[in-house]
Amino acid sequence: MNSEVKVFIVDDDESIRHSLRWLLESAKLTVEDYPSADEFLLHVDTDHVGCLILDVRMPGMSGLELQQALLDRTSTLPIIILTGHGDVPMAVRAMSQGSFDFVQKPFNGPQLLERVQSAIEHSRHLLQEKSSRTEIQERYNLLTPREQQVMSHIVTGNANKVIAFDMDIGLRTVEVHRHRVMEKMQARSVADLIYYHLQIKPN
Amino acid sequence: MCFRYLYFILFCLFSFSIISTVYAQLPALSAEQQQPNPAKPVINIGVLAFRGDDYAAARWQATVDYLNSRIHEMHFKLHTLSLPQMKQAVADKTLSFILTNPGNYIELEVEYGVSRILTLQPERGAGPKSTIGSVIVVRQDRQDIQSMADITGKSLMIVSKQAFGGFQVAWLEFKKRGIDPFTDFSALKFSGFPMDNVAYAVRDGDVDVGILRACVLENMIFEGKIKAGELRVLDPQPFDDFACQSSTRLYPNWPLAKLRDTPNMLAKRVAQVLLELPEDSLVTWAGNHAGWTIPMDYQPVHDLFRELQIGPYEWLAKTSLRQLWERYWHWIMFFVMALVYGAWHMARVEHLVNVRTQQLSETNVQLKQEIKERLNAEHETRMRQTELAHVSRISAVGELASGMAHELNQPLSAINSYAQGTTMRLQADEISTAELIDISQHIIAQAERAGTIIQRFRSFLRKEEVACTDVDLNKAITEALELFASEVRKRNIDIELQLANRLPPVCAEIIQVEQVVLNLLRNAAEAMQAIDNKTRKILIRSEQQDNVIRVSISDNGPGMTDDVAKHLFDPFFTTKPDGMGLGLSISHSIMEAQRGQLELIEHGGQGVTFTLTWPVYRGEDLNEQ
Repeated sequence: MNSEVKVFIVDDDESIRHSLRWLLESAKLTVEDYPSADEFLLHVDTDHVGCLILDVRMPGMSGLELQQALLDRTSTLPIIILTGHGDVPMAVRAMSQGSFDFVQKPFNGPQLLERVQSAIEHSRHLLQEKSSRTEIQERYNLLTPREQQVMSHIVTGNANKVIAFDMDIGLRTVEVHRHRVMEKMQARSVADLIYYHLQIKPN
Repeated sequence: MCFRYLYFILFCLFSFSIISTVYAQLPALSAEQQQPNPAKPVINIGVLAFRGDDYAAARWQATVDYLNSRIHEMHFKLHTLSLPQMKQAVADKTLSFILTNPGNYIELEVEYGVSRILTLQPERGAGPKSTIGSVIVVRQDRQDIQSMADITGKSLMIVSKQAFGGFQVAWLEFKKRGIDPFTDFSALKFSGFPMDNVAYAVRDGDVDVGILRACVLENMIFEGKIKAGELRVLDPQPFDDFACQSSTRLYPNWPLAKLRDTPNMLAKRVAQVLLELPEDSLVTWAGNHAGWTIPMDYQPVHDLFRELQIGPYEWLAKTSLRQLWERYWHWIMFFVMALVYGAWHMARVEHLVNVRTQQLSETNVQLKQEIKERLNAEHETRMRQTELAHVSRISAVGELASGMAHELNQPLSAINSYAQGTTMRLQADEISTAELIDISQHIIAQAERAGTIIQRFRSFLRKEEVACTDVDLNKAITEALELFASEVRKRNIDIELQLANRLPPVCAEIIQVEQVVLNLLRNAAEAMQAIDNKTRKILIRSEQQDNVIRVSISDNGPGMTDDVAKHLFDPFFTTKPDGMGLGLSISHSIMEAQRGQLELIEHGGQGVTFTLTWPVYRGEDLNEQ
């Protein structure tokens, strides 16, 4: 995880890259720009707080292809698609694939900055979400297999007696396991535990 | 047109003259026919007095007396006449019969229609047939004149030009020998009748040569007027049945002829009586002949006159229109008809020519009309083509509209970003003058870029006639490529440029060159749709080769079939599902209008190559445009 805020620009048009850099830097943002999608993928760690401003029409790997590649890497970086007038259907497709926003050229500065800011916020949120999810998973991984079994029984709403019966163990044993699960998962209530359970991938 | 009327007038004149002649003729003829021969008791007989009146009277009075003794109901009277008198008397119709020499007879026969009823028998037991000839005489002692060949340059005497035996017969002999009696003698003298004078003049040495009627010499010797041996006959001809000497061929003797109005019955009576006259009688003796016989053939006399172009054949020319008409009316009619036919024919030809000319000029007018229509049609076609080119450009622009929007979006977005960023930095007071200047330069550059794009599209849209300006082909290619840039990106095409460094300008219009190049680029891009994304490639090459500047555009698409290649430049031929089939056709026209050429030089499996060629032009070529 990298908490440094960065705005990435991928556009084949040098003037666009240069002018956007000027604009974004005027807003005190750190900017990195790349003339092609390939360059970007080669050099950038995508787990950044920030966003990607991406031109859909480019030689080589297109904007949509880059978006797909980022999705495959579970990148949380929000993407702002820059489109020309004729590219609206393409932008719609990009949005349906999970792009954060699209801006139609010619854009105006304040509007773009606003989108960039909200994208950064979104990125921050996504990244936090992603990190909390990782934490819960780590806690979960600390549970013994028996405790994980008990946890899945708890989140389905079974009473201790039902669990003891189902697992063919003593009621007391269930109570001990239950306490350990709640403790290890740092859950204060069953509702918490259910919430955490939804965030994890069962082994 | 005038000739037609002239011919018509001529035709009328001819018709009128013919008709008037015929009408004038008819009453005259009928008057003559109806005029009754006055039944006079006196029958006048005219006799030619060629040796004087006395001689003639002495010779022929006996014959007239014989007639009076045999035919009682009328009185025959003898008139001795000279040649002119004879002609006048016949013309006046004061005579019923004439007795004259063959030449005079032929004249009168031709002119007044006298007809022979008897021919005089030769005198003194001479042969029965031809009895008139001429003798050409010289003095016996003229040794320098041996034949007719010797007489040119000498002096000649004849009795008269009209004398038949005394001149004309000999004249023919002269003519046969190439001698002209009127020019080839030192002198031509006329003695006048009697003919004896000629003999005397020769004998006396007054002239070198004389001409006498055959037998005159013998008679004079017989009568003792000339001594035998005093005169010599030139070129005497041998005749078995003729007693006298003659230098010429012989002609029939004198005829007795009746005038046209003399009744046949009377002529028959006279002929009968004279035929009954015995050969040897007082009458024949006095007339110095051997009686009468049936009329002889006078054709030789005709021939002679025709040959000499005298007598009736000379008189013919001097005759009156009426006499001419009487004799030759059928020939005249034929001639006039031929003339009329000729005139009619010429008029008709003239008319036909006029008609044809009229038709031709009408055809000509039609042709001119057709040419005009064709020119109009061609003009219209050109107009249509220009319009089509315009439409094609518009549709091309339609296709490129999104591309243009994208092109414009880039500088506009850049400008906006620059301006916005600058504003923000100014508000935060975080900008140096150097930065401001730098960014301003960027803004200006982007604004200019936008302006260039708009300018390019605007001139692309403009409909213009072909103009001849210096066009840098490399520049045209580069600009066309800029228009095509978005397409290149979209389709992921690799553009390879091989542009010649020092290319002379061509005479063209840059927008049109760009249109053609763009058209070819678009075709190439579409052709390569079928092949793999990564290998799409267009090679654009410009080069100069001798007097030709060539731009070639090659793709590495799948190529095309020969059949497609053959019809490639045909209008409305297309292989694209939604194509109009006009792009290449119009490009071809554009190149032709620029005196250039658009050719397909490669269309196999390796891809398609088009070449655009222009002639290298010099300054004077530019002025010719």
